Amino acid sequence: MKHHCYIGFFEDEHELLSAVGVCRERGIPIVDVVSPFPVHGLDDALGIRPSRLPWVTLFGGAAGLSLGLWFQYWSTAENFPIDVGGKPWDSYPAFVPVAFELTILFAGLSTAFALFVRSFLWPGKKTAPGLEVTTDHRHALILEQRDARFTDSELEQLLHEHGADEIRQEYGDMS
Amino acid sequence: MSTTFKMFQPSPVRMRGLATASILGAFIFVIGLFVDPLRAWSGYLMAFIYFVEMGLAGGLFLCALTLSSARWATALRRIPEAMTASLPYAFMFGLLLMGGVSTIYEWSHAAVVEADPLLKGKASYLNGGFFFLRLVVFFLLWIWLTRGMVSVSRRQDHGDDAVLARSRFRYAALFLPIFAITFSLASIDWIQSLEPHWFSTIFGLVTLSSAGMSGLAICMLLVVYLRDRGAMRKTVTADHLDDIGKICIGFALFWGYIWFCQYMLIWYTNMPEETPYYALRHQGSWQVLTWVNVTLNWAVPFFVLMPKAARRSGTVLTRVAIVMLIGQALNLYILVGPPLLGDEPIYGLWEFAPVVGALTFFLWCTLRALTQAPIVPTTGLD
Repeated sequence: MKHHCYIGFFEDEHELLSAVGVCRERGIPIVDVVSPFPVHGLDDALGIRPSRLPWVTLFGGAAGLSLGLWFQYWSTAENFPIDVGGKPWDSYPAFVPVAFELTILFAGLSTAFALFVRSFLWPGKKTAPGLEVTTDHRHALILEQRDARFTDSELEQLLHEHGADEIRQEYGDMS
Repeated sequence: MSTTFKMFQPSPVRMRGLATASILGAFIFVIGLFVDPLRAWSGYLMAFIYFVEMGLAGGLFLCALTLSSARWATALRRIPEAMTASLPYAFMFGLLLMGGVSTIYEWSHAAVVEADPLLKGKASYLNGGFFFLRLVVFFLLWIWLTRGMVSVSRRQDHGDDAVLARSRFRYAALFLPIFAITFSLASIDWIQSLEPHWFSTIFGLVTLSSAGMSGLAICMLLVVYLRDRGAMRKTVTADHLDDIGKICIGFALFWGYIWFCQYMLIWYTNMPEETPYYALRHQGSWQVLTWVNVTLNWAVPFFVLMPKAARRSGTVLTRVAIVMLIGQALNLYILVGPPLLGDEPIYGLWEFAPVVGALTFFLWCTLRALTQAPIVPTTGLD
């Protein structure tokens, strides 16, 4: 689906936040905000639901932990018991470092993969054109023009008023 | 941000309550000296270390915030600053500790050292005179550098200029390595030398993580207290609490990690000169306390603060902070108690009163220091 979008670029995250607040107040649809770093309070300002990603991390970590403990138990106590320093075969303190590392590994990787899948970031995915500066120092606020209540110049003026130093119109798929 | 100087005034009733509890603790310690000197001095040692650790944690946080140019915590900076105000008192308590050296440290007896080749070899370092000298040097360094950071930070209230910022940065950069070395040596002097045959190269980190935990618990208590009833009502946001909660998870992990590092290596290698330390702590009821210790200091902060909603709630943070303070007192009891109190844990008034007295006196010092400067720094805020 093709959209008619306005993109405002901001140097300052406080101006970005106030612009987002005003847009939400006036019911102007926000397609997305692209930022080079996490902006404190942006989620609240955009009214985004709390992310479900931490659950993936939790389950990934739990899976890594149980796999680490189980595999070490199975290999050293069941499948191929070896006497190490006269300690019992199921010496759990010795399993902890590996299980700990696997917890972190699984939690980290599952989070990253879940994020990629959920945000449709697969290999070969094309970047949205013109937003390269948002990986460096500028924030982009993307508004959609689909409501006859707001004229083009009104949107442009709103972005200007809140400190956008560059405004661009795009026709295309911005998601 | 307007530059009004907002001052903080704690309620006189609360200050009187804290002062009374501290005096009561000191009083019970003095009685204990006549009834059971060994238990009184071991209680005193725990209280002393508890008190020093919290004050130094303030210095450490201040140093970390300064060196990393952290802006998120500028509004909260007065709290670690105020915590360092306890260090001169800690120095006084350190001098008093000299009175108990012969009661609690076996290396202080010439006859014992003479009969023991290992202690004889360590005597050039572990002896009363050098012990005293080190204690004085440690405290003078700590007081000098923390005072430096705090006084520069207060001068910055009257105009933030590059010279002052640089000066604070210098104090902090000097504090970091000096603190790392002196604190490590101090914990070996005061705690590890209770068992002079035993050694652990990670011991400085064990106590450092404890200091971080108890210092952070005090910060959490004060931040929520000052937000709910004091002058920080408008400055402290849920985001601040969230950040502090995250640091708290980090410190709980750090504490658990270091605790387990020391335990696992000694358990695994099973060398006769190292294992007695844990053999002593894993017999009878001491073992139960060891598990409670890990639960209070690692499991509770880690799991309770995991959900975002919990970290943003002042009530939850306060409760976790109280659990951590109890946990750290217990941790000190397990560090100090077994060699002095014997095969089974004994816990009574003589151990309890000095520790509670130290905590209340620390809060008294900190709250009093908080009244001496604007509660929120007036420059450097976002």
